[in-house]
Amino acid sequence: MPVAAALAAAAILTTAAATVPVTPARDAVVETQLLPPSVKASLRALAAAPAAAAAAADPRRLAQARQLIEAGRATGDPRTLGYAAAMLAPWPPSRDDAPADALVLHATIMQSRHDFTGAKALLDRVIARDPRHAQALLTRATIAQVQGDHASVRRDCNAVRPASPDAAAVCLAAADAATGADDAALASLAAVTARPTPLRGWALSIAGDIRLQRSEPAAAAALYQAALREGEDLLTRVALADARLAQGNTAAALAVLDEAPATDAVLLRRWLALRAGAPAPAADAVRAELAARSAAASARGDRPHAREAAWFALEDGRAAEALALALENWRAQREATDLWLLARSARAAGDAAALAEARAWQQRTRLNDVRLRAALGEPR
Amino acid sequence: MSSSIATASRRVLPLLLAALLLLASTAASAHTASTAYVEIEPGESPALTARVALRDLDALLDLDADGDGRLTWGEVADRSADIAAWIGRGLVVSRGQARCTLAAAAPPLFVVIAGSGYLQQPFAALCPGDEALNLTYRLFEGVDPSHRVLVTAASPGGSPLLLTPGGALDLAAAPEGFSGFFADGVRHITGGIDHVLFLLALLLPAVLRREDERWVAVASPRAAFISVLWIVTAFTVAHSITLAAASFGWLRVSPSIIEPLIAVTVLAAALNNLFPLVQRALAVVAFGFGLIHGFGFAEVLIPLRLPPVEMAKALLAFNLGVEAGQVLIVALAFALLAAVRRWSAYPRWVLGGGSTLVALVACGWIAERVFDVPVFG
Repeated sequence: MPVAAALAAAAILTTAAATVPVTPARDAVVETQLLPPSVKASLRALAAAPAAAAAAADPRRLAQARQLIEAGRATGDPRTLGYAAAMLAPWPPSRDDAPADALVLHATIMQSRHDFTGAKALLDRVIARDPRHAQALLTRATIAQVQGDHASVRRDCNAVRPASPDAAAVCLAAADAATGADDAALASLAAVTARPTPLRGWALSIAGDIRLQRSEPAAAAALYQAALREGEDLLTRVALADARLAQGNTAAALAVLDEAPATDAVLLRRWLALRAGAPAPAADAVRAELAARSAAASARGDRPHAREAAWFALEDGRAAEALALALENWRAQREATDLWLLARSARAAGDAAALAEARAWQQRTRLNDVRLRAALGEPR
Repeated sequence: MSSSIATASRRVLPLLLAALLLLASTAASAHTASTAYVEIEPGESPALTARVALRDLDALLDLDADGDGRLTWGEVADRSADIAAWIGRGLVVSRGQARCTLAAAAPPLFVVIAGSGYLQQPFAALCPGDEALNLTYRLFEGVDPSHRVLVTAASPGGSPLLLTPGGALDLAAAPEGFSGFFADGVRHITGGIDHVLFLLALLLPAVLRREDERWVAVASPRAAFISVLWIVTAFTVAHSITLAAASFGWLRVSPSIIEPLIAVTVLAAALNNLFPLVQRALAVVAFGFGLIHGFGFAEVLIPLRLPPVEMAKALLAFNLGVEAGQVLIVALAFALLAAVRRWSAYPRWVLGGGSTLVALVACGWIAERVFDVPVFG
């Protein structure tokens, strides 16, 4: 039974309620989410040879930094980004002669921490040096896409075309879908996924996003599942859970997240699914953990990821807080989900100005988003 | 539920650099980031308690002996000596220039913080001398620049300090000794707006008396001063009793009960000015309400968990500081109120307006403290 399984996974530590120090039994499991062995290995190498000693900037460190960033993507564990940054220590971004690949990796870490301005500045430097650096162009296009700067997305996507026509096509499809050309975007993604290509998983997940945006959750779920068959990816898995929730299938949503690492995004979906179905204490335990994490993050001086925080506050009935967070999030990133959260929070808080801002953006970009129309109070 | 919508967004970017590898894009909102917690109780023989995430310890010390991707407490306990040594190397506590030796003071314990498993290891630091302590934090240095440690030094009202790997902290800043606690007491009452408003609400009618259901100014400030003295003394004696009882751990009432109650006393004092109920026995009321405020003061000293003798000294200094601050506030307010007591609008605007304002603020606090909603931002 998936509900029970998800519960067990979510609450393996919290049920013990060891918020006061205890001595557990020897066979008691005290942590289930360990870093993968490959990460641990490169970490011990790092601890053995600190950056200061690595005057001979070993190019293997670049490859290891890349692996650590990928591990972070798979596990959703932000500390791997810290390890990756330590790997790159011999090439601080401030240095003019830092290799382009190191700068792109630095930019990827910054982007993952939502430092879009810092990441873009580094990528601008790389592209000024090498206007055809495909990875730098694609990463910069992603940032522009997040920020809703669709003209820049198209410019950078087109510049990738000589290196990889497929990558350019997927990159452009995301921009098209954000500006009302979702039919065209789906057609060009279908052309890419019809062939065997390493980009197939990426293209399928973008197509899933577009289907979800159009309130076609069953089609979206099928696309996400196909994407996951190409390779495990936590963001796609979370999106699949969203599609299942949109279908009203909370049991399937929980099953999708059964084995997923307990990131904030995963916990939020678990809470939404449990709240809709299971007995209240189960949902309350997950909610309490989300709240505890938010408190722990602000204690260490971190800004919460405003999108997840706004979503949590909105679903938790804290409308004013949700709107403040949704507006903060909207200043940083402007994708369909961000707009949808802004509109819903504005509606919940009864803020006409914020609602008008959301509506104006939709009209300007001609974004075709069925969920958004409902949130804006317009007929489907 | 309309709750179910996509996280959409920033999908994978293909990494075209070396091979076609998929690489992260944004959205790393994730597990809680790597955070450790260190508590320091300074003194002649300082004590430290470190809490480090088991995931971090496993990453560097490979605790998962059977490699099954899960840690049992047995796997952790078998390596507890290595772990304590590793943490001890990273917590560089010094007195002046001399480094203290850290020794594990007890076996490690397990605790959950924000959903992550932590190892809690107490240490005793051996440091001769009486110079100030300082801490340099070297755990995760060169390994994870995004790691943070929250250091709580036993300083009254001191909030935890945040350090990055390689960061240092001068523990001399922590208020210690008589003058430190005295200053803290003064700060606590003068900065504690709820205590100040309570005193003010009691003082507003002190320069008036009731005559035929009306307020009139007292003829001599001297008589008024004596009644104020009674009120303030009663408040002081009462809060000293509960402050001491709570600080020594004889009597404990949760802040979640005391904080709203303090707001209620402010409201009651203000309402009594608007709809006079108690006039003669004001000192008795001040005594009763003072008992409640004393529990509030105690929240500064309780977390220090000082040994009894140290606590007695700290308590004396802190309480004298509170009284000094209180005398300052009362003297200033009384002089001002006595000067304007004959103003014809005093009863209406100073007493009535002032009390209404205090009552409104108190209502806001009650809402804030009971329902946990921000009223004053």
